[in-house]
Parts: sequence; structure tokens; C-alpha cells
Amino acid sequence: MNIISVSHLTKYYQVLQKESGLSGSLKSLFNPQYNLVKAVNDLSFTLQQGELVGFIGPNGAGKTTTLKVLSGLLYPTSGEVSVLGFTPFERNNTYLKSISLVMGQKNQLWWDLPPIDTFHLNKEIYEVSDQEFQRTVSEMTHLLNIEQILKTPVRKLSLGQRMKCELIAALIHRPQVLFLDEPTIGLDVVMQKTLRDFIKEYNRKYQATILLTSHYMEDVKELCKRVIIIDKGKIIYDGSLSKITQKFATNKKITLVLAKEIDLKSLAQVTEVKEIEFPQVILNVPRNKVSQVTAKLLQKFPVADLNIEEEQIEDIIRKIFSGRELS
Amino acid sequence: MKKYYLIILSTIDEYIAYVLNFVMWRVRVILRLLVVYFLWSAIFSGNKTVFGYQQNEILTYILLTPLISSLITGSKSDIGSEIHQGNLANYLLRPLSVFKYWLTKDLADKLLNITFSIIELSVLVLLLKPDLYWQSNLQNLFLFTLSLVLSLILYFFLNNSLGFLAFWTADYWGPRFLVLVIQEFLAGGIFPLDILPRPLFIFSLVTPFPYLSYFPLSIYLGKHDLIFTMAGIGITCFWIFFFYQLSFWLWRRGLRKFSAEGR
Repeated sequence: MNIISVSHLTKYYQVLQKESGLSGSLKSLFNPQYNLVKAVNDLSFTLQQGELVGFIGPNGAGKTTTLKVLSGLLYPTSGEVSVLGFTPFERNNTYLKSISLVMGQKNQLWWDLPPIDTFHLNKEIYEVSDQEFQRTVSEMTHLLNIEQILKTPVRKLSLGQRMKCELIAALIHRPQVLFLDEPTIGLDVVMQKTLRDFIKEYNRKYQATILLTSHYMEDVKELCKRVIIIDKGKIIYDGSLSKITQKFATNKKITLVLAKEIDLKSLAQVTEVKEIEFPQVILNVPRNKVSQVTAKLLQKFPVADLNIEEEQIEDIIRKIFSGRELS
Repeated sequence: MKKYYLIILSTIDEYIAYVLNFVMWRVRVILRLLVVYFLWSAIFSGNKTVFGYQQNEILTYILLTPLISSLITGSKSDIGSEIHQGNLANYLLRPLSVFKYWLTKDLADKLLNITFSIIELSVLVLLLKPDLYWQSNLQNLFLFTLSLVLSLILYFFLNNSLGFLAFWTADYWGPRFLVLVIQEFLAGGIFPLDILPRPLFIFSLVTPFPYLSYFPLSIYLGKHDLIFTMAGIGITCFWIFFFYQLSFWLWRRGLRKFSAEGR
């Protein structure tokens, strides 16, 4: 069953353009110029129950906009969106009780009050029973190891502690669908790992459907079997993480270990040399020429060892993000 | 219901986090009150009546004004900035009526303000021992209470309508200031409106502003006959209806424009 289904979603923004400085401000006051920004442009995808999908793309690709549309904050310019059978923008109370949106950049916790106060308030707003509330809070604070800071005003907490509390506040009502926007942003590696484990555990335990954006490939690699890559408001890949290589890797990496020194120019005639650190040489070979090139190498050069590898996922994603044309 | 109770508690709790801010703000209110009080005392020195008002009526009017305004216009909620900064997203995400949430926070603000107003006022009355006007007519007291409640509702929707302008422009404070300036004058917070030239007074009565302060106070002082009072309550109801419709209309349209900035 499709928990989330998005079909031909489009969201345009009118953005005021202003030249820098006071004169620019005055000009924009009398003659405002707007630019139409196509934040999301004809997006279609579906998510099944219990899926944990990584939603990745460079800054400004339209990830956050999509999450905001899915959680009912934004009114779509066009297209159909359905989550758990609801139209998000109608913000039906039953719907809101089944979802949560967590943003790494902003907080919902009351700034001057301790986190436990926000938890209590959310408990009442989401109409969670005392028993369930106690269980959820004690379980989650234990998992995230923050029992000791529940009574400290939020403004005195560190970013990591705050993020953990944000996550708990967003999960008090045990949402079936979770939208996470950069939940690990700005955190150190240990904290990132803790949050990842926590998200994984939540997904497993409650069979929750999770759509997650992150700029940290570690997050995506560890959590998501499936990724949706989006750029300039359009989906450019939707499938399993492991198959990205098959689709986008145009080259393979051949690592050679040479038995003795050779004239490197002759090597360059065979294929592109990427790195040399004698006796090791790394070559970049187009996929369709791998066998041909390998044969030539073995024939012409004193090869002690030879290793053929796929490109790293990180490298491929970086290529995608840097806007290089993909074949 | 418990959620609204908790919202009230949390709002008050937030004030306590900044005690000094709160105290200084109350001091400002008291000082302003004292200035107006002594000004009027000076005007009355030697006169029995001024502009058709007895001294005790004016002093009652002056002393009750901060009490009334803490009940009606006294709230620190700034819906415009919540929209502008994108914090509105927090409320939209939760299964909660945003209007009820704001109204609750507003009432919490008012509860706190009115409590302090009453304490301050009692102290001032004890110290200055002014000759006050006590209304004992039950009908007047009832109409006074009714008009207070209506004014509170009117201000809530008026305030929302102004705040919702932030959906369209970052300059939402402009119109707001304009209204504040007019409100300061036409609500009758400094002097009773009926001392204005007759045409100006009549004109002011068709605007929503006198109903935010002058009107309930003048009912308390028994300045008007029943017909005038009922007409005023009718006009208040009209403005409530107007701003109720306007604010929901702006809300529905605004949400479609909302871009949850910074979120």
C-alpha cells in the first residue's frame, strides 16, 4: 500500500528581487521585480509502509519544499499529493496526529522553558495517554541519553542536546510518517551516529515510513536502502542506493601495482591516468573499455597486481551535485 | 481542555523567565498613568466640572483606563512576526486550531496583566486616595461587562486581520503603526472622547476604536442612555462580524501564499 504518493507535484514561488544597498531597496520599493522560482517541478514518487528513503540533492534542489508540501505547510501550485489517504494541505487533525516534520535548522521547543514542558504540552495537544507518554519519554530519553537535561531551559542546551529533544518532542505521538529535514546538521560524528541509530530503531520498531534529507552521505548510506535524487526541482534518480553506480558510473577505477619502473607516458596512451604514487597507479577507464584496457595493460606492462573497482557512491553523488552531465 | 490550560501556564512561565522585562514594563504603565492622573488633577484645581465631567468621574476614567486596556488591547502576541519568521509552521503542523491557540495565549497575557493592574491600582488608590465614582446600577454594570467581552473579541479579530498582512508583505508593521496611532487617539485612552468637538465625536463612534476603551468606561460611568448604549453595542457587533470575516478570509488566502520562510 502506498503511504505517500506524489504525482506531478509543482511548487512555484514569487521571489522579490532586490539590488544591494539602499538605492536598490528604494528601487525595489517603487518598482518591485519578482522572479518565478520553480522550487519543485513535476515531481512524482511513492513510498510504501515502513520504507526509509533518503531524499538527496544539492542546496536549493527542492527537498525542503517537498517536505513542507507533504506535511501540509505549503499549498502546491499543481499536482496531486496524498499521504495516508489524506490531502496534506487540508490539515485534518487525524492526519496531523499521524505525521511529524523535524527540521534540523529550527525548533519547536519553547525557548525559555525546559524541554519536558514542551513534551507535556505536545502530549495534551496530540491527546496521548499518560501511560503511553511516560513510556515514550522514558524510552527515548534513555536511548538518546538525555535524562539529566530534561529540566534545563532549552536556551541553555547545546545544539546536539537540543536536536535530541526536538526529535523526542516530534515523536511523542508516535507518528506513522516522519519527515526529517537534515536532522544531523551541525552535529559532531558521535552525535550523528546516535541520532542515526535512533532513527533506524524508530523505523524498525514502529514500522514508520520515513523520508529523510541529509547532506551527509553517511546518514544516507547507513539508513536508506532507497534514495531519491533531486536536482533543480526534478527527480534524476529513484531507486536503490547500490544501483546508483550501475546507472551513473561511467567509469571504473583500475588500480595497478607495477613490478618495476616504466615510462608513464606510454601508460597515458592506453588510458587516463588519475593518480601516480609509485609503484601504485590509479587509472580511470570508461566502463565499456575495461576488458580491452585490462588486456592491453597485462600485455604491455610489468603488472604485479591489478584491481578493478566501481566508483565510490560519494564520488558519483558529488558529480551529480556539481551539475556535471550524466550519460 | 487541558491543553489550553497548559498553554496558559507555559505562557505565564515564559514571562517569569524575563522578570525584569516584565517589571519594567509595568513600571512604564504606572508612570504613564501617574502623568495623566496629575495632569487631570491640575486641570480640575479650583473647578467643579470640566467638559461636563465631575472630578471623580474623570479620575475614575483615568484610573480604570489601564485596567481596561490590559484586558482588551494588552497582549504581546505578534502574529505578523510569527508569519514573517515562519514560526507559524510550528502551529500548523499540530492538530490544534491556530486561532484557539492564539486566543489562549492572548488570554494568558491578559490574565497576567489584569492581575498586576488590579494590584497596582489598589496601591495607587490607597496612596492617592482619589475621590472615585462607584457604579451601583446593576443594568449599567451588566452592560459594562458585556461591552468589555465584546471589545475583547473585537480586538482579537482586528489584531489578527492586521497581523495576517504579513502573508503578503514584510512591511506589515506599517499599517499596524498607523492603526496604533489612530487607536491611541480614538480609543479614548488619554481623555474621554465626548470632550471632542461634536462632529469628531460622532465620527469616532462609527469606527471600531472607541469600543476598545472609551465606550465600556463611559457605560460604567453611566454617561449614556440605554438607546445610545445599545447602538454602541450594535456597532461593536458589526465590527466583530466584519473583522471576523476579514480575518478568516485573509487567513485562508494567506495560507496559500505562506512559504514557511526560514523553516
